[in-house]
Amino acid sequence: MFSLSNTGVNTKKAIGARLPYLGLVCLVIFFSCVFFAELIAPYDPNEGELLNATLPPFWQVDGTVEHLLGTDMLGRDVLSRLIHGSRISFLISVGCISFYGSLGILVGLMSGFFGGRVDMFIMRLTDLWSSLPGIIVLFMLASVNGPSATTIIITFGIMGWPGYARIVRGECLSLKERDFVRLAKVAGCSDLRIMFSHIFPNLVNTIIIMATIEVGGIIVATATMSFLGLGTQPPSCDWGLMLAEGRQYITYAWWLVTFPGIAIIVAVLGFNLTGDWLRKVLDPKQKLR
Amino acid sequence: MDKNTTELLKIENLQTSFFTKKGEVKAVDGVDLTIESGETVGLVGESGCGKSTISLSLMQVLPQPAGKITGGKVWFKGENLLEKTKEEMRRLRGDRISMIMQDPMVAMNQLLKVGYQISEVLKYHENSSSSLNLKDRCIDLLKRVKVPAPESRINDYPFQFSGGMSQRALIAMGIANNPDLLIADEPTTALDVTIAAQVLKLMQEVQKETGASIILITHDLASIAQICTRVVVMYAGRVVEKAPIKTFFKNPAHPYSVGLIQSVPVLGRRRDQLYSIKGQPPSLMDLPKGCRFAPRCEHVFDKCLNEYPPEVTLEDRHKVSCWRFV
Amino acid sequence: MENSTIISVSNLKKYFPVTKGALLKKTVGHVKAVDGISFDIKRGETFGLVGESGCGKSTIANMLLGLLKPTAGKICFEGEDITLFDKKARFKFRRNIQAVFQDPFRSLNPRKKVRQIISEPLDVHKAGSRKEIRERVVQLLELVGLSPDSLESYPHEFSGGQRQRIAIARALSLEPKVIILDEPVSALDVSIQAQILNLLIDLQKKLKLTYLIISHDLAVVEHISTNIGVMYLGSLVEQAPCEELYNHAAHPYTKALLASVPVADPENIKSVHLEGEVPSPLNPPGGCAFHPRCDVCESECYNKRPGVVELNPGHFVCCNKFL
Repeated sequence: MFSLSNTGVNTKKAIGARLPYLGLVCLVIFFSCVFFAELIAPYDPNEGELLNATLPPFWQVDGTVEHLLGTDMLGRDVLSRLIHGSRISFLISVGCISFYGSLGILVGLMSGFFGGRVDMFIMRLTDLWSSLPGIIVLFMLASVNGPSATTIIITFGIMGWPGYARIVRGECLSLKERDFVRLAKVAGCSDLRIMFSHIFPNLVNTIIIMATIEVGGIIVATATMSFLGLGTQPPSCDWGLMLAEGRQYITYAWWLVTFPGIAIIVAVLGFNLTGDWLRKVLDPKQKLR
Repeated sequence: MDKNTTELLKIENLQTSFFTKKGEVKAVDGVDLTIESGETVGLVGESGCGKSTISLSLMQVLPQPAGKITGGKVWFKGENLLEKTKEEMRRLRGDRISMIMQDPMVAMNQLLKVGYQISEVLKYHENSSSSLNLKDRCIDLLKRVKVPAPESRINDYPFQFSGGMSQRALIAMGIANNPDLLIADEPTTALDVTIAAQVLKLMQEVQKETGASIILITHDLASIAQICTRVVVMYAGRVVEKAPIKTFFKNPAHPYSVGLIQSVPVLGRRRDQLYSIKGQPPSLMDLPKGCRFAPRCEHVFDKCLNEYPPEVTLEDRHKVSCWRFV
Repeated sequence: MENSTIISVSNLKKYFPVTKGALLKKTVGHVKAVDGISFDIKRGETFGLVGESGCGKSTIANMLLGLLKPTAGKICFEGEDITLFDKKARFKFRRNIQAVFQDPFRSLNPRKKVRQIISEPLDVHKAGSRKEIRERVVQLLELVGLSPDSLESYPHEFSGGQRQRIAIARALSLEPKVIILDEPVSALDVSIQAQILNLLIDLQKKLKLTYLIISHDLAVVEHISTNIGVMYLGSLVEQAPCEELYNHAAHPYTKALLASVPVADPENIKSVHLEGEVPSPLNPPGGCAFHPRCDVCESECYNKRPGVVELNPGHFVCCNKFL
């Protein structure tokens, strides 16, 4: 007889199968911070006593259990600031994605569905748009508008839609040749109805997957902007800003940069792993297995 | 070939399952099958009856990780293929056993020249042939499958070949190493009628020339009638009838075979209503307890619903699994 | 109105431009997908179009359905030229012609429930109140032999045959006069094929439908049609009532086609009747397009395009031999 056992494959599969749970755990932590910040956070993120400035985390010599992850140079509780910071990351991500997602989807749908000259025009426009250097646009907007969360959302919104538009267009091109779309035309459906009632629902998976994966990128980018001083301004508790502020104290208050860094990693990992997992689950070809 | 008929391939109680999230799908559930050298056997059945899974199982190229052979033996020239190592199987595939796929557009790599793809098959299974020799052999192979102007066509890419020509090139790859067994999985389904007729004839000629055995997997009874010497009918993962070709079309025994033959419209024999088998094939995850065809059968009786019928030999080489003949 | 012509196609042409160059597109030639085709379909009959892939039969279907605009020619429906319709007239007209396509796995939107799929044409044409539409959908499901339990299911829960039934129910929803069947059974299993063909024949009798069936499978077309047109490279080479075509095929291509249909009978082994392949429509042979494969080809066929001759009433053939 031949051997049926194939243990090597099984263990590999087991680790692969557990990864999404890690992602989900990260996301649960992230979202409970977002929605229940007031309940979870022990202190107000923006108020601190100077007497308690730069306390280390509780396991170090001078640390206290009252400030688990220590305090910053103004005596504000790092844990509370991290918890509240999740909100900023979340709001900016949602803002960016709904802004440029809807723009990109609309443009991509039109481009793919109407084809011909409309398609040619829109696609060349996206090419042109993608060649704009994002950082300069951000500098421009920041100088006009002042650096803020809104500026970040607007910049990402302006810079981000071509990516969505291209992917939506590609999917739309193949979907519109499907027989059910032809039959919808035969039935007399209007272009709008075909676009939104037939093509769009078939794009939802792709869009959800893209969005989850992009959230990670946006969180990192937001942090980068704030780190450069182009994003949110003090006393905001944005993670990137916390990193930037902590940088000067890094030699004797390591916790001021380490914990915001870990927060960013956890959030991004959560979204990326979940995005990968969603792609597997929502892909109809995978369902057959 | 005037060797005495010898067993080339013997499948004993082959069981292959796909393990899905919803559970185990027994695609092939205890199939016995013997192929003698030099014969052309038609394996017929509807989609999902397991006919393609048999060929994938004996080539051991089941989709991974879902597909698994869970039992049985496959004897090829006296050796059990299921005990062979991956390396041994690799050497066997494309050499002693080769396969022709349904859609030539998918089966060939669109980015490589046709000549290169054919010579690859030759190269991997031979120790000593210079590249000059290879080229000549490619041209010779294309000539054998009647591709016009093979000298120039070996430098073409697959997209420059029409459907019929691609299928010929695939057959050329299939017979490149004079295999003992050629498995053709729906070789004409993607082709037009006139081209399909040409390809079927070519396969028959190739069979005569090389003496290889052919397993023709198809849902089309007509192409089986045209080139096969024996028919094997499958239904829901099991073989229900085996018969020599003439016996099968004259006296089909299993009600499913009868239904299949009668439900094909025949040119010039117009009827008001086509005979049709009622209902749908069962789901392989939820099989009926007795005979799997019972829910659709016209002659069903009590025993059919409770117990799977044994295989009965009606006459020489005509075997059927049906309670009506027990 | 019995036996009157319902669809009349005359000299229909569809040329697809072949362009070169990425930026400034230059038209370098035309693919003559459909090149001057005329036929009439009578009320209540089934007209079959057969031909090999690329012969232009699906392009005709697309033009009749208004999915493609003809390059030239007329398509008259009950005497009115539908190629001249404006948007509004076209919308109203859509009720009259519906279609069933080949692959039931592609012709149903995977994200919609059966109820939505069947009721969509009714919704779009505002064919009644919500309740009336609901009742109509149930009726339609029963008509095609499905149980009303399946209303709230998604297409992937059905087998190929059942899906094709759903597609037929949808096509019937607007009570069309004509249904275009584009390879309606070629994606189905043999035993299911027969079920669907029988259903189509039943429905035609019950609802007095007119069918245009397009297929590469001559046996299927012959089984269900009253008249058959044989296409080769964009032209209709022969057209005749079903039995006439089968018994007295005149055009060499029709003869070859009939002869190469494999028969499920080991005592009747076919030899190959047609060598070679269909030439590219981009660069069709001059004269009679069939001459490179024709076994009775004469020198005049190389440059003389044959005209149409009526051999018997209703039997037209396009071959130089009969001129």
